[in-house]
Amino acid sequence: MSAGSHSELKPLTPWLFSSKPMALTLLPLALVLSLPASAQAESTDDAAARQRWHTDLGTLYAALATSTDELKQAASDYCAAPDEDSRNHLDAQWLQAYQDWQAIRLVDFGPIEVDSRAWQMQFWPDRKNLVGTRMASRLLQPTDGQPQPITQSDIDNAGVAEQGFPALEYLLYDEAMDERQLSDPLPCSLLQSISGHLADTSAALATDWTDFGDHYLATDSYTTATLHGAMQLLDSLEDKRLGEPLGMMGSPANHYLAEAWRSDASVALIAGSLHGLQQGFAPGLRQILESHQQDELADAFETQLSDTIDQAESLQSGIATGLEDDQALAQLTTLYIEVAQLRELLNQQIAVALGVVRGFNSSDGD
Amino acid sequence: MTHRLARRPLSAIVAVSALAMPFAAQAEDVTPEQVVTHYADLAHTVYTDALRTARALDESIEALLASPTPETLAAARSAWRDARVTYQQSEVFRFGNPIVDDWEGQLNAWPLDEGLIDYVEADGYQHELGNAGATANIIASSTINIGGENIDVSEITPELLASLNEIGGSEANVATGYHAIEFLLWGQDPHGYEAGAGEREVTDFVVGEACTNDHCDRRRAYLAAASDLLVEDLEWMVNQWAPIAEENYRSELLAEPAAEGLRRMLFGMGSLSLGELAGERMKVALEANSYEDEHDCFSDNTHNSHYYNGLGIQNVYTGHYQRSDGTDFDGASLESLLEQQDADLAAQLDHELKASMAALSDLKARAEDNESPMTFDMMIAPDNAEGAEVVNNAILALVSQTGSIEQAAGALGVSSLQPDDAGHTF
Repeated sequence: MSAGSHSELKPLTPWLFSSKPMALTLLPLALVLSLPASAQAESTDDAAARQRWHTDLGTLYAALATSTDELKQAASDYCAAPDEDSRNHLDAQWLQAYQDWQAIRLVDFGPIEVDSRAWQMQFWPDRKNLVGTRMASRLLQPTDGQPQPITQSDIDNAGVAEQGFPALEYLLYDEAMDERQLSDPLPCSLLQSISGHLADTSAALATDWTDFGDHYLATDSYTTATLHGAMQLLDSLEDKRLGEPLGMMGSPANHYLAEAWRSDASVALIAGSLHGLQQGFAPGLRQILESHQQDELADAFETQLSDTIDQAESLQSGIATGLEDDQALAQLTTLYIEVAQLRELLNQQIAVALGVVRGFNSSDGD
Repeated sequence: MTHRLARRPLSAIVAVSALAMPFAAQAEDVTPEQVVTHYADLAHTVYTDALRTARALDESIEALLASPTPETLAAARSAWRDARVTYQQSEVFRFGNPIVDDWEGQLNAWPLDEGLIDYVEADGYQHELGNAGATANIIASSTINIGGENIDVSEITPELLASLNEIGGSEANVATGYHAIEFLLWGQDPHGYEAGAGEREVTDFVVGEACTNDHCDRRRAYLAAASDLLVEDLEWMVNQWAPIAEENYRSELLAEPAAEGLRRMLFGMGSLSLGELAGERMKVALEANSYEDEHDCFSDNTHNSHYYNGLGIQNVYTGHYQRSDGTDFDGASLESLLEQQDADLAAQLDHELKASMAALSDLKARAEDNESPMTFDMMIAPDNAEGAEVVNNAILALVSQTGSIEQAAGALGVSSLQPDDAGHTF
């Protein structure tokens, strides 16, 4: 890695200017695969670390493909035989797949950039409740005649608010569904269509990540891109996923700003992202740090990451109910501090040690 | 009011720019100091123009309130659109210059929960989840209660309105600025993805029996106060960039090493291109089919706001600005400086900026088509492949140019685009 020089700025790295880095590319896959192919395609010391990252992150993509396929099957089983068991299995499979998505969210380059796939998986933040509005409108019964079942093709062609895990969460947990039977033909067709779309998208991501390997390994700038992806994830964890809903960012607490407020699964999702860092990112990071004789920073990162995971897993509730309970709130605050310390380690100390020129998150929209 | 830029095809704009810049082609080497000084002059010129058009808007609002007729309402709406032409070109100064970024929310914050200000339709009003002020309706109330706090709003003044921004901690509580005025002049857009903007009747501003939707006196006071505040705010910003003896933001900026000025220029161009215009203002709306994320959603003027944002980016590069009276302003440009370092890159960035302006021109032309206009809220409708392509073309062009802006930073020795004050410390 040519640390600290101007060549850091040479490759096309739009994330440097982006607050929503995953969302901005509509390029065809072939172009994405070749985009940062700058003049400097020689491999360096970090090629070994990228090899490790490609393998580990590939494992996470494969896990997502598997669990979304199981989710699709669970939706199908539930609609065929709706009972308590099949419903519980469906709920559990939704959460498992959603956590597997969180685990790989640190990757914000490559195949995920195609067709806004990150938003297809999870449109968030959703301050104006587009998910709720769009899903309610999908579920409107026609005033005359039988409702037409929804097909996966409908959802494949729909907006991102109707395609991902939050849309499924609406069907599984929104209070508007208290008045409905999820097992009725219309909601069940929607459930299966969204699950099918998620499974297809995840399968494509896993395949494309494998195909992306040669280019990723040959292109030095992806070392920085991978580090930036993890840094960006920690920025978002501290400020957006915890800080804002908990009222740590200068505004009052507001549980609607948390992810998955309908199901109160926000902390479970955070734990999913932390596990992703542990399994997909930390081993490659260690290789780089060791090659820079910075073993102790690798130790410190792994220890802090492990402590942060323990704290997340010790929490019984998410942010929505945690805000109503003093003890739980104290635990959430501790988690917030652990995440902040983890972020300080990676985004400041390790970034400085590796000479990574930090991009920035442009200010939010007005 | 003349808007030559708005009515000319792109080729004419480019030709005018080229004629106006023989300086760039022939001059001796420009220095970074000259380029940064001209940038400060450019900002001063653009804000002066924004102030001029805001004063014209203020006068037209006074005329509307003096005699509320469909004609005076139409004139006020037209003056608002004109004021956007200049202000949107100033937004490139926002990122990178902390003084602008800290100030601009009071003028241009969006999207807003307009139910804070005035009446809204009960059906189909989508506001921010958990926003206690989303239906406060200041115009209909002498006190409002937000999050348990009672606020006396009986006397509507510019100061009161400014104090209500982000009340209750929600960014969607926007009581002032261009979009609050836009909402008062147009009302909610009830048409969703269909043709048509807000349709507020002028009788909403009539005092006495003919008043519609009640509280016309307070609605009038609100509009007047919001307009006065806009003018005051722009006066303040003009002074910050004015070449005067007193210390102001301009003198602070010019006291910094020139590399810092270049960094702020490039940071502003890149941030507006990608994160803000391509991302927040187009991509979110398009991918989620969300007209709630449309920038000028009441007036359906979004295509112009996007177009003039893009032009502002190009202005900083070429050092050129065409004032609203049609006169030109030019000087030592970033483009010339880059040419000295890397002529190929300078040509590439020039080409990409023209390409993004061509894409934004297309978006503007579709929205203003006489036969069958397709406004931004129609372009982002589900299943509108043609509209999506128009928006996507603009996004892609902006993404491309951002890559070159980043390279330009490298070529000009700006090694980190991170602003001084953005480092988070725990």
